[in-house]
Amino acid sequence: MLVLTGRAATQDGKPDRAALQAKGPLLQVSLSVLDPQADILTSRGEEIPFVSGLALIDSGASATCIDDAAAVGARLPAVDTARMASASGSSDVSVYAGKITLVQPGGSTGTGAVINAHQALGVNIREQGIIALIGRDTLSACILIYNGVEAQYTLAF
Amino acid sequence: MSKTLAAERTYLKKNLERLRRRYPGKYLLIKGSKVHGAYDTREAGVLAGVQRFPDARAFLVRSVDQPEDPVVSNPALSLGVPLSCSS
Repeated sequence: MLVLTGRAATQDGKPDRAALQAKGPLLQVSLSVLDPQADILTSRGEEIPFVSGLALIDSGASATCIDDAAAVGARLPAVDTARMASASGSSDVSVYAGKITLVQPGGSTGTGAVINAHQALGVNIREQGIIALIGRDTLSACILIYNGVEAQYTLAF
Repeated sequence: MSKTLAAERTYLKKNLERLRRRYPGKYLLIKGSKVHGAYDTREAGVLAGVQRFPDARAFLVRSVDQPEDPVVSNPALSLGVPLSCSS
């Protein structure tokens, strides 16, 4: 089992509950194309494009979401469309297929747990400082522990 | 209708009954106005799509039994919680 742990801490190493409450549980991630597509690009001598940034573990989201600009930057194909409902109505969104690599804190890009997202919703969240939301479709195969007292969270695959 | 995959969605809608008879219960891989494959799962259709069209910005994988756009919600985005909280 692969275990990823995040922690919000003050400069003197104490749990920073306020920071975790404000920002939520964040993980460093890398977005790239699915492996079969990457294999083809590699066989042609092309580099695999990727976009790195932060993802929010969001148990309020039924589906995993990817920032539209990040998806385009990583050359993720749109494979469907959906209607995103909100308080003010609904809007069309793209649905992308791509690989989300969750980077182990302290690890390097390209290592860590892999989420093969075959239907990630395209959203505009880059202005919030994140490029992905890890939703319940992904969490359905994980163990998530949110320890607010220690300002720590653990995601196990 | 969104411009994304407009041609593919229109093709599916116009040919739905015929495609349902020919590919009952399947997920179709559609690019332009052509079906390029029929699969038992969305995942299988997506994987076939990225292998067949590795340079494409878009191709459609959708079930013939669910031809309309699915409606999804995300409280964090629609309500701004917790993304809009100050740090």
